[in-house]
Amino acid sequence: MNPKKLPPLSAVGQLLTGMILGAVLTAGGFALAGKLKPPGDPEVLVALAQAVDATDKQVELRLGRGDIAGAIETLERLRTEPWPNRARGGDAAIQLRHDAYGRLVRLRLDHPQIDAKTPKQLLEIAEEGLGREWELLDANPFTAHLLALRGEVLETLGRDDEALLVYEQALDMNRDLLDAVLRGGGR
Amino acid sequence: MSDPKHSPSANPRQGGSVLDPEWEAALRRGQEAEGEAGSVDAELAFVHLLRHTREPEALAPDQLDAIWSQIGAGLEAEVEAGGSPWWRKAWVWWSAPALAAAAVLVVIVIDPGERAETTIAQQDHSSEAKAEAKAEESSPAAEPIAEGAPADAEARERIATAEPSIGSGRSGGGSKSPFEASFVKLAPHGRMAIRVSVDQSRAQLRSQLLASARGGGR
Repeated sequence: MNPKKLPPLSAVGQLLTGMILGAVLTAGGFALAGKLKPPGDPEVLVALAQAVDATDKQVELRLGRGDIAGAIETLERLRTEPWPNRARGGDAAIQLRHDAYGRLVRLRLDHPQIDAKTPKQLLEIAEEGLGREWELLDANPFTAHLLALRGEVLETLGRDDEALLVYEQALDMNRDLLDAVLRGGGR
Repeated sequence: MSDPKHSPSANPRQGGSVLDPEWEAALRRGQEAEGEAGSVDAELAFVHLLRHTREPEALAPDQLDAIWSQIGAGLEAEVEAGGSPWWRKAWVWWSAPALAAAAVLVVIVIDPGERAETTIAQQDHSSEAKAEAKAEESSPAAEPIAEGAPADAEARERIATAEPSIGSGRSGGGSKSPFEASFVKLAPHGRMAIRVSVDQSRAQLRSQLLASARGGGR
């Protein structure tokens, strides 16, 4: 057996893992795509998606320059915009809101010295982002993320029991989401 | 090697054909009788070949089996010694996808759990630090901020403005949190789902615009 003909074991492993992971991600993405409640007003969702997309690009640019304060300010501006409810914007609008608020709360938690907010104020931001309709949504990564962030804030407030409950909700959602992704829409 | 004296043609006592088996026997007897050293095996092998060409010799079935068993044993030994590479073996192709799937599951499911244990430990550490900070803050005998203690002053300022533990421990290393790790892995699915929904809405708007344009033209 000529050792020169042997492909590196790591390369073979990476190739196979990549192929399977790629297939799973693709199938999972398409599986989740068909589960969102459609918007009552498509125009609202399209406009919101464009606004969030533009904001995301601004935030990325500012973060790339190390301008954390600018990124937080950009997200705070988006926060003040009117957000459609589930009936008008569908599930996608709610998830977009959760994504944007999640980024904001994450940045604020990671950089408490910038435009400092008290934990109580952070909790208000997280709850404002979550809204009252989040429990109606199917499992999605943005709601799970924001829930976990809310748990972190509750923890800093010393409300450990509530934090545990919220973490459990986030974990349940993550499990459901992972299950849906791995099943590739089998349910 | 061979001595011309031993060739049958040179022996007056043996006048038969070299292809006659008796010729070979006579040759052996003559060689023994003269007590001479040397070998005529090479020449005899050639004679055997000529004899076989003239009249093929049939092998007995047991002899044939013995030969095939020798060949088979030789082949097996060679295959075992320098067989096909491992990546050409069938079991590799059957087991590799299963192993790769298991690796994916380990990365996505089990690894965040292990990190959770780590962060719980960090959280405990953070909680202790937070408790200490709170204790210091609430202490009535808190020392005035000395001029030569900027670090202490900074710490007090942070306590006054925001809880320091928010940015430290679990939160400080946001990317280290198990939830953050899961989010990073699962967010692409969610973004794709949102993109599909937005695209559907955009297509719906486009068709509405087209319908209204057709209606206006009539």
